[in-house]
Parts: sequence; C-alpha cells; structure tokens
Amino acid sequence: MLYSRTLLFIHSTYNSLHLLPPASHSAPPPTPSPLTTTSLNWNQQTFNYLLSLIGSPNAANMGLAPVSGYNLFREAVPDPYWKDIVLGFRKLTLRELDMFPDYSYGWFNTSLILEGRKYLQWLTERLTERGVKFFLRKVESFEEVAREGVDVIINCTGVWAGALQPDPLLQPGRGQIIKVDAPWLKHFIITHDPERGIYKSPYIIPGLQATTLGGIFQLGSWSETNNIPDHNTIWEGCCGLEPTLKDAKIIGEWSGFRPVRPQVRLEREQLRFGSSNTEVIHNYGHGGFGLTIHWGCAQEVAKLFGKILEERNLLRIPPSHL
Amino acid sequence: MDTVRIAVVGAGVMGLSTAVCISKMVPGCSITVISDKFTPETTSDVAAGMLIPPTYPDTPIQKQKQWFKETFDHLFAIVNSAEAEDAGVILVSGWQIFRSIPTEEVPYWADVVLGFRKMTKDELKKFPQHVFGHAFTTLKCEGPAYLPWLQKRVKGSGGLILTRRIEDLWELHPSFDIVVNCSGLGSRQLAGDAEIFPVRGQVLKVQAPWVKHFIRDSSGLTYIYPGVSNVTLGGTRQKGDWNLSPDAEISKEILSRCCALEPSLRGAYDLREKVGLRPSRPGVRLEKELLAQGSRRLPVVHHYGHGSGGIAMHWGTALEATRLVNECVQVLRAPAPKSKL
Repeated sequence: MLYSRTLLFIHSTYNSLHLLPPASHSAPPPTPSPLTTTSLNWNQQTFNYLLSLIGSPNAANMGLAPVSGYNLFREAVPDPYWKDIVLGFRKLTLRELDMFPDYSYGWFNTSLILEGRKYLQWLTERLTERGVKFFLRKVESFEEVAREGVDVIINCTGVWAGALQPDPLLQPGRGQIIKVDAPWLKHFIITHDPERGIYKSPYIIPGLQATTLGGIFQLGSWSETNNIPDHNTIWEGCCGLEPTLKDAKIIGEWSGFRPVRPQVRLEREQLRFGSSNTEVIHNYGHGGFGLTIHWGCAQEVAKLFGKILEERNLLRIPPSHL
Repeated sequence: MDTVRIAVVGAGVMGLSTAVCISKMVPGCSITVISDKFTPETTSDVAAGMLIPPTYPDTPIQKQKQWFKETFDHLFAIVNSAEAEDAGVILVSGWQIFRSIPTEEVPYWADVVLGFRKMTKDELKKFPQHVFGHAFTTLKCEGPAYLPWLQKRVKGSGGLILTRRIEDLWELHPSFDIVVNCSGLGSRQLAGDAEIFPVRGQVLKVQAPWVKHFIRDSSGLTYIYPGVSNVTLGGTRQKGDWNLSPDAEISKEILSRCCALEPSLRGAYDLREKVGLRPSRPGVRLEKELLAQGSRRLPVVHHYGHGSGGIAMHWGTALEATRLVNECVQVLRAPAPKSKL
C-alpha cells in the first residue's frame, strides 16, 4: 500500500497543471541548457505513448487531443531536439510568417494537448479500479510515513518537495495564466524571446474546451495570488499576437508554481529510521515540462521499483537446507 | 450622370459578395439585394465553408486557380484582422487522405493554401485505411457569421436589402437598370436554366470542441470540419434530390463514417442535422445576357452554379461578375446613337 501525498494538492494541482501549457501541449520549447539524453528519451516515450492513445474513443475523456500550431522567433534558430518526436515538423513559409508581423522565423508542427485536470481524473479512476487507495492527508516527514510500516515511498511532491527534504536546487517558477473562451482558435501560438527567457514570452494554447493565455515565469516567487501587472502582460502580449482575442470572454485566471530544477530528480535513496531501511524513489522537479515527459519518468520509476522488489526478494530467500 | 440602379437577386454568399464588390468597384450606382430567403436560411448557411476547392470540368484550371486564389487572399486578409471573429473566418489545419495514391499528387491549389505538403508516414498511421495524404492549413468561412457581415457592408455603403420573392426577372423592369442573378437553383425558373440541378448534402453539426483539425477523405464524401462553435460532419452527394428534410438513417451513417476516421467523435454531443442543396452545374454561369421583350431591354449578369465550391470560389467569381456589371454600366452610359428615322 503506497501513500499518495499528491491527493492533498489535487485542488491546486488541477489548476497548476493547467498552468503549464507548454507541458500540457507535450512538446517543450527549447530550453536554454541542452536537455540530457535521458530527458529526450522520456519525452519521446511520453509522446509515443500518448500518440498511441489517439484513435481511442476515450482520448478526449482523458484530456488528450492532437493540436497543431506555431513556434515563433525573431531570428533564425537551429531546429529543436524534439523535431522528430512531434509530427510533421517543418519551418514556416513566408506567407505564414506574414500572419505574425513581430516575428520573422518559425516552425509548424502537430503535437498533443494533455489537459491536467481531465488527465488526473482519468488516472485516478484507473488507479481506483486497480485497488489503489487514496488518502487525503498532509505528510510532515518521510519518517512519519516510514514508521507506519511503508516499504517504499515514491516522492512526487513537486514544488513542495523541499518541505519533506531540503533541496536547494528546487525552486518555484511562478506562472500566471488567463483562460478564455475562444473556440475559433484551433492552433497553438508560442513565441520565443531569448532575451526575456523561457515561458516569459506570450503563448496561446487551445485546450479541449477553453484556451490558455500565458507568458509569465518568475523564478523564486511563491506568490499564490493573481496580480494585475502579470494579467496585463499576458493580455497585451497575447492580443498583440492574436487580435481576435479582444472578443474572447475571460473565464478564469490562475497562478501556480512550476517545480524548477536544473534537472529532474529521479533517483533512489535509502533512509534509515530506527532499525529499518525505507526505500524512497524521488520523482520531482520537472519544471514546465512535466506532462511532456511524465510517462517516461513514470516508467523509469517503475523500473527502479522493480529493482527494489528484486533486491528485497533476494534478501527474503530462505537459507539453504543443504 | 444618372445613378445606375442595380438589383441583385439572391442573398446567399454570391448575391451578398457581388453586392459588396459592386459597391466598391462600380461608381455611380445604387444597389438593392432582393431575396425571399436570407441568412440563416440560405444554402450558404448550411455549407461548412472550407476552402478546399472542387474541380469544375468545364472551366480552365488557370481560371479556377485565379478564383480560388482571389477568394483565399480576401479571406486571409480578414482572418488576420480583428474582424475575423465577426466575419466567421478562421484558420484551420488538417489532412486530406486517400485510399490509393492519386494520379495527381499535387493539386492545382497547393500553393494557394498554406504550408502544403504530403503527409509523413507517422501522420498516416492515424488513418490505417489510407495510404497517402496532404497536410495543409486553409480557411473556413461560415455563412451564419459571414453573410450578416456582408449584409452590414452592403448597407454601410448605402445598399438596400429587400425581402421579396421574384418569380420572373422582368418584375425588376423598369425599376432597375441591371439585374445580377445570383439565385442559385432558383435559376431553373428565373433564367430557364435546365443545366442547373441540386446535389443534396446532408450534414451533422455537432459539439466536439477537442477536434482541432479537419479530416477529409479525398472522395469528398466523408469529412470532419471543425468550425467556430461546432464541428460539421458529412456528408452526402445526392444528385437530383430536392428533399430538404434530414434523413435519420443517413445521419447515423454519416456519424459512423466520421467516427471511423476520428473515434473520439463517439463522444460528440448536441447533434443537429442540416440539409443543403448544392446548386450544381458543369461550370459556374458567369456571363452577361441581354433580355429582350418587345422594346424592353434588361441587361442581366448571371453569377450562379458553383456546386460544392461556393464559399471556396465566391470572391473570385464575384470580382468577375462585377467586371461584367461594369461593362453593362459602360454600355448604358455610352451616348445613345441618334436614330436617323
């Protein structure tokens, strides 16, 4: 029986996963530092897995749908590492660039949207079907859980992981998004500004129902409330990109924290409480691309878990009677 | 110089766009649009309005390409403006898929739409029954928004809109100097045109907001066209069928064909059936005719018969119809030769 801390945050997590549209569109914009081969594999695995589910009648119920769109730049850039992961990647033609007067270069590709709220609901249902139990509870320490007789803790506490074990590498990457009703928009439009940095340039991402407008990234900020300057930054930036947004009805606004870390913490750790060892598998720190690589990471965690089981079984082999 | 009085018969996409073009390009005229049916009850309101042109066997390809390009450019300018939503014009990407490799792999309109290319193997995996495809971005222009937008422009330039059923074009004489006939299937009666016939199309307009791409089987019979606030699923091509009532069996069958291409459509809700009669002809009728009865003369410019390519070609053919109207105006304004009798 594994305790899940995530349920405690489901309220804010539902919203904060909406907040991470570059992730929810499952193909991250280029990161300033080169992504590791591992992350690339996780990205590929996740994309392939989700793509295999397109074509299932349940795709939309899971929060999953294909979406195509534009990545825009002010100058020519090298192709992204994910160009062969997504579908139909190509450079934009001049006529297409005419649609975006502030930008002079870009890409077109088909990717996937995975909406956090629907996906979490769907996953919760699948887990419940398999007998997984959920407990809504605030966990104060690994020790507290270990002392209840848990064998393995899988730590997916995201941006709040530091409360269970200090991690100076983990920081909140605060974002704010505006959700609008703009059903006529069928494409994502993601702009890039290397001077301002990642996620700080306007982006528009159509979801299964509503459209997300964003472009805020504040490293180190824990402010949970929406603020007006950020609202204006998003609104002006996105309306500049897509003038028809002036007719869009605003249906919500949210703030959330991307769990930013130089790299994802995906590793085992043995903790000793009293006389027993508790195995911990950490899986947090996915920044703004959690949904994009989540399945690859989950499979990696499962592998590590399998190793733990193997090791434990070895320890339990009865002594030979020979 | 007297004002030339022009009557446009028909208030579908042809009538209204021609009226707008005339108001912009023909000086010194008054325009009245006369019809018994207006949006949302015209054939143009049922059409999905996808800019994927058909082929007119009797029209030179260069001409068709010109009409399509002029229409595309006109709507592209709208989609890039803040008016896009008012006018019901959106950008949409997707795929046209083939069950066998076509003889012509690149259609004449490939460089008119945006980003045209062949589908990759990975993209085709989504459609196991199909072996080839086109991927591109095009425009969708929706009657229920576009027609009111055009009507506003007609009125804004001083044009009048009149609800009246015309049984005979001579009714317009002598109140009007030139008639522009955009009456679609009505021309069977109004223009005595035996060549025009309906091709019945039934569609379902459904709610499935997660569908962001169009999918069109190259036969043109099965298609999924996501629009501003619904998705059009189609369709049928029933030649000579005048029946405007939806057929429940056909609706089931359309849904089934579309779900085969896009299984998530099984979750579509709020399904509404619609029927439109495509005004079909071997070619668009775009020509002048001088009606004569005794000493009465009535110049007519015919502009109808676009079949399944109405929205896709409307602006290009409206421009041409306007040129013909201009020619009629020049003739009317030319000093009359004095009779020597």
